[in-house]
Order: sequence, then structure tokens, then C-alpha cells
Amino acid sequence: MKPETKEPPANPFENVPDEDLMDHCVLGSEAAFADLVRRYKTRIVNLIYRFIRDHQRSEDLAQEVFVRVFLHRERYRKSGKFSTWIFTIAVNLAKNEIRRKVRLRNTSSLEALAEVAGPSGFFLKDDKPGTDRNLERDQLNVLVNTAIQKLPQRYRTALVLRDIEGLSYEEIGDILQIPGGTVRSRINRARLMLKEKLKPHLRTSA
Amino acid sequence: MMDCHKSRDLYSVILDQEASQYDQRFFDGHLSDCPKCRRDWLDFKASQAILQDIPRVLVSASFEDRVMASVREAVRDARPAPTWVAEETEPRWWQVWVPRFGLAAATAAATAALFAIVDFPQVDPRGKSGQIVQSVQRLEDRFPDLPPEVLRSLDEESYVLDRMTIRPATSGNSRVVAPVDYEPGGAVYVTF
Repeated sequence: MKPETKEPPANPFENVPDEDLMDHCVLGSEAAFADLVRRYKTRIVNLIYRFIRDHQRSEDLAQEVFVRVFLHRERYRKSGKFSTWIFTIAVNLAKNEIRRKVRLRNTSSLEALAEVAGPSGFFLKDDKPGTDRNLERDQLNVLVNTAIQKLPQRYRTALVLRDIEGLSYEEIGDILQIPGGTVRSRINRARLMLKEKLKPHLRTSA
Repeated sequence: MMDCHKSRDLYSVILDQEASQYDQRFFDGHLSDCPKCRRDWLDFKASQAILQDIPRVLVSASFEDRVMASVREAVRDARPAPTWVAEETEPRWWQVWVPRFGLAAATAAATAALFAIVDFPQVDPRGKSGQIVQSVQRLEDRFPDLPPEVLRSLDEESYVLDRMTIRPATSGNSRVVAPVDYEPGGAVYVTF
């Protein structure tokens, strides 16, 4: 006779699309909303972090994003993807935060802001810490994040949405409210700028 | 030079596999002829590979709880103040009938209560239970057959407890003065 093992209760929303979960949220289901939070928390926190490079503040803003999603859940239209909707809210909040910081610090450029923000150490740790390779990787992470931070905001937004969050060109167009051709050119321009910033550290250029 | 510029514009759509066949052919053709663009393309792909590898930021373990607590708080704060417009429901029977006959019912109830509490003066000369006999003279008028010695012993207040019997009060300082057999109503008890 096999001993009984207690399995965790199955998540009733496991295979439910985001858009249908929002239907449950509109009806007031806290469990459905909690599932959406679980699905998107990492992406939203990371998205905001790429803009402001302040871990604690990124979580605070992400929290604000989710609160707004719930409070305005009836405004969500099912014709659009939920991810597009929530990313739009997150991007707008992140941009507002940048503006607020710039105002507070009386700085006139985002480059100056980037210097103020500095590198952060809230990244996933490698399984084998302390090796030269990990050190190199950590340095590279800081380098890349700094390079992203130094991009002009319009290019940085497009780059983060595409290359960090993996959104489609169409979704990015919806979020930023710009036509497809502009999305393409912004992404390409951002990538070319990033390549130039990273060029001294690329092995192919050696 | 123009072709180099055009090929750079195509980097992203080529990388994301969204280029048209025409653009793809042009790009491949140009790179095979231009070593500078070939190297630049490799740098571009390498920088993209690095970008794909940057680790994600960790999210605090308490994040979900904090979000849910904030949401509950925000919902509580955002909830509109309750109005006095109640949901319309089918009225109960008493909600229909009481207003209609309320005045009549209240009057009837008050009358019944009045009769239960207050003892009205009895028209019947023989008296009524609980009637207060105000004076000897009145008692004499009502009970003309009452023996004189009883009447003489009466004070200002006596109690007639039933139609034909005068009984002493059972409380206060009253006391029985003269129990008298009185026909046809039975014993007469006079108190003062």
C-alpha cells in the first residue's frame, strides 16, 4: 500500500488565458487576479527596472501597476491582449517615474540620471559563484545595463520591450502608440546604438 | 556606401526573421561582397546575444502578498459611500397592511390597553372590581342596605373589589375595620 502523499491543490486557472482571467477579475475574483500577478510579476518588475535601475522602487511601481490593473479592470477591452495592456501601464508609470526623478534631482538629461542610478546587484546568482567566468559575466551584466540606461528613452523603451520582454513589433506599436515602420526603425536604431556602446567588449571586434 | 547604409537598416528585421524575400536576398548579396558590413553584422549579433543573456531581476518573496494587500486597501478606499437607495424588493405583508390600517390598529390597541390599565367608574350602583369609593356618603348611596355601624366606621377611602363585596386593601397601611355579612353580595370588608 502506497503512503498517501499530499499534493498541493491544483491551480484552477493554470491553463486559463490572461484575457479570460480578466473576466474573472471583473467579477471580483481575487484568486484570478492573484494568478495574473504570479504570471506577470517578474516581467513587470524587470521591465520597470530596465528604466529606473532601482530594485526597491521597481517593485513599488510594479505593485502600483497591479493595483491599477485591478481598480480599472472594467476598462480592459478583450479585443486587445492583456499583456499589451499591462505593459502599457507599466511603461507609462516607468516614464513618469523617470520624469519625476529628473525633476527632483534637477538634472536635464537621462544620461545624468543614469550616472546617479548606478549599477545594481539584484541579479540572479550563478550556481558557481566566485569563478573568473562569473565575475566576467557580472561585469558584463553591469555593462549592458549601463549601456541600456544610456540610450535615449524612446529607443530604450523599444529595445527593452523587444529584447528583454520579447514582445512582437505589433504589440510594441500598440503600447507606444506608434506605427509599425516607426517600431522597426526605433528597434533597429536602439540595437545599433547598443552595439556601438558594447563594441569594445565584443570578442568579434578583437 | 549606400548599400552599407541600407543593409544596416535591415539588421533587425533580418535578425527577427521579418524581412521580405527581396530584402533578405539584397542583404545576403551585400554581405558576401562587403567585409566591413560582415564584421559589423557579427558585432550586431554578438551584442544581441549578450542582451538575451542578461539575467532577470529577482522579485521579493513577499511581493505577491504586498500586491494583494495594496489591492484590498485600494478597493476599500475607492469604494463609493453607500447611498440610501435600497434595492427594490417585494414588500412584506406587514409593509403593505400596517401603513394602511396603522392608525386604526394603533387606536384599537391603545383603547384595549386603556381598558386593561384604567378602571373606569362603574355606572352600576353596585360597583365594580377595583373601583375606588371616594367617600362614605357615596358608599352609603350605593349600598343603602349596608348596616349603619359599618357605615359609621368607614373613612374617606374604601375599596370595592367586586360587584357585591367590599374587601380590604391588601397593601399599604390599610386594615380590616369591620367584617360585615352583607346580603346579597356576601361579606363586606371596609378598610381605611
